[in-house]
Amino acid sequence: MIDKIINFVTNVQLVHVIELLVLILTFFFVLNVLRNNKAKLIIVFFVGYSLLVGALSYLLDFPVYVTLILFAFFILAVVILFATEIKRAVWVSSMKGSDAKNWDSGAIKENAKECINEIIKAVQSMSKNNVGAIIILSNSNLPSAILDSGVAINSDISSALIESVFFPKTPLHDGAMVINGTKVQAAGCFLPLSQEINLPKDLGTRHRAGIGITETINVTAIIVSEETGVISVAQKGKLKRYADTEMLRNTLKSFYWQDMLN
Amino acid sequence: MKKNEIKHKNKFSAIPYFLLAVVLAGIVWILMNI
Repeated sequence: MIDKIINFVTNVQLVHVIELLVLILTFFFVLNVLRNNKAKLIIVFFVGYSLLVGALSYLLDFPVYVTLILFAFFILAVVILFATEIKRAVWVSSMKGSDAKNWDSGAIKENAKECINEIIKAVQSMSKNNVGAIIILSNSNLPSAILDSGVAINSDISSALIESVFFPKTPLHDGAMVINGTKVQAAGCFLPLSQEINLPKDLGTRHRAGIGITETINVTAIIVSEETGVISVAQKGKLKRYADTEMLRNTLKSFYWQDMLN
Repeated sequence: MKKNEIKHKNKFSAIPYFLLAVVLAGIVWILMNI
């Protein structure tokens, strides 16, 4: 066998080098998808499967294309299993470098205080009346697929508008509202849900959506529970519950003065 | 700064998986060609 290996390595042709590169890239793609989704057991299975296919290919003298087809099956299974995660990864990579803040700083400084007060007023009123709501504070960094899933509004921020959108039984109350700078950009948007299995069972879809979007994209989500009226803030995939006025104000201040003006 | 730190961490944690991909691909490549 060693003689065969030496013989093969010394007579490598261009087609073999291309084969090797394709294998490395494919294996890295599969391992990377599995790593990002913490699928350690499937990684172990993949390593075992690859060695088994390699061994069978040697022992039974498969043609190269049969071996490649056996790997293609596995890759197809991974793509089907993790389709949503792969789509998200593509979103995130397409967002890189587009975090640029195309804001008019002066206008924001002038309006920020008013916007913060209006958002807090609306959130507290909805909390008091047990009206469910989810507001995303974005920096022009949401994929257009998410914005297109809702209805464009492009209006100034006002508590009356926010409360009207989330008023139960209105057409847009079930989706997320996107605030972009000093404007309400869209409402009724659908967000990717968090797949985290350790979340408390009492958190509904709205909370999962808030956590889900902040896991992949650098935005902040403010969520009002429909059942309890509890206000929560999600950032970077972490949920802070029982947010009071102070926490809301600090979150919004950090959004308007740090995230947007830095 | 914090953002950069997170990015670096992610970049480095992918290296072992890249090496695993290279080793695995190398073994399979040799086995299917000899």
